[in-house]
Amino acid sequence: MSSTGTSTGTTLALKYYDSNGNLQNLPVPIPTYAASRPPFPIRFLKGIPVFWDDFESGPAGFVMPERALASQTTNTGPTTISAGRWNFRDGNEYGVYITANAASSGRRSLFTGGNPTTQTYGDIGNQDVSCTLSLPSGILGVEFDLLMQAGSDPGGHLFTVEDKDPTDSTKYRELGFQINPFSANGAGFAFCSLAGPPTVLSNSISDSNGAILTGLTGPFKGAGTSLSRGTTGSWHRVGMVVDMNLGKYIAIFLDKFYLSTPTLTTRLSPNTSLWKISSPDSTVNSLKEGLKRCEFHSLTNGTSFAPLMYHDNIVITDETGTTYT
Amino acid sequence: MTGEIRDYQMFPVPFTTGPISNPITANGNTGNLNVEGWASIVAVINITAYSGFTSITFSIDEYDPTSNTYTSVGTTSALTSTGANRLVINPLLSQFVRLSWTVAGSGSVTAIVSGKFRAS
Repeated sequence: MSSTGTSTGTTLALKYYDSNGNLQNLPVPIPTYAASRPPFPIRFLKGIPVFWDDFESGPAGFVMPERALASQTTNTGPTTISAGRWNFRDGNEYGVYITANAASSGRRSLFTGGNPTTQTYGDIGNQDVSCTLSLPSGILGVEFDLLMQAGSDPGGHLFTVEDKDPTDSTKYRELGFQINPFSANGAGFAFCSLAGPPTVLSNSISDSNGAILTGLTGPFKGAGTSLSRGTTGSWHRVGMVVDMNLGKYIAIFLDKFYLSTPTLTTRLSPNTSLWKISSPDSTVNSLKEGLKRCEFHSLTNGTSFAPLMYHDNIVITDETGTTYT
Repeated sequence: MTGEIRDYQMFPVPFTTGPISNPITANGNTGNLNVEGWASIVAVINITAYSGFTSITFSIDEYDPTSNTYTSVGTTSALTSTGANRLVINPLLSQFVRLSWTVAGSGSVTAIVSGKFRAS
């Protein structure tokens, strides 16, 4: 079947040729938002995609820093400060880049890790990379592919959603999900104001369907002289939905594991006002306009080595009105 | 050429707490910079203060992960005074490069190095 499209005011009328060669109208108009989908499958999230990246566009290579010298924010001096979608704050540009070393689909992915301790910008030992987007509803879902190449426990991966604390202009707040893959069974933590941070998924703490973690697969499992089946191509799909207005976890996903809102409310009772609130290290001048910042970290195990992590097919959604029970 | 150029300050790195800051008093280098999307570099080494050293030489080195070694793919001449110097690497074939510098004698140099990266 071939198809053709014509614009009719605010709607799009699609036509096709039937088996007799006659031009027919498609019976159901295509919603306008149908054209705004990422070029890869969304596995967990139900909301409307507002941002995505599969890292196939533009030159690969190093990502620019989020800060710069004072002169670089004026109309003179070098343009080292990031003006792109992706930038970093912790670690350095030697530990974050877009690369063809790995890809869950297409050619490229976003790498974080390595040795961010020397020549660091801040938060010694950890490497991050982030993007900022407008999501005034405050109910945000994020989903991405994650490959954990190498590391040692308790190193891990952390992704967080951040915004401005509306009650204190000097602070920001965040909710996140941390995965420690390098222990025998692996573990997942709710990165929030609760002490710990609390474990929400492990070998002894099950998901909403009763499944427990028995270890996470990655190239790090392949050390030694014999080949290990399924390690090097082991991309995981990870997701999280949070309500940044209420400081509430709505859902967490890791491959087959699913943590629903009721489960998270039980584990993180009362599952409200859970933001981890922190003070920025410099003058507060960001995220005042309803912007949300999604940060992806490679967390050190306390040494100078940050685990090698690859991200791909990242999508961020507005989850207003969705439920995860 | 597709036209994309990224202008990046290779040295000193803004806000670094590591060794890649002014003034230069010994041999050193930046870290491995991933340049796999970029086909060439024009580096401009602008020495704004110079004292003591017999000379200083800047180099762009490519990194080989397999052997964990660096090989210079372009160097300046032995510089002995203030001024701007241009170093062009075209084509740029490796995944990682770094900027390194080698000094002769003892002294101090203050420099700013920009890198203009051009996509193919």
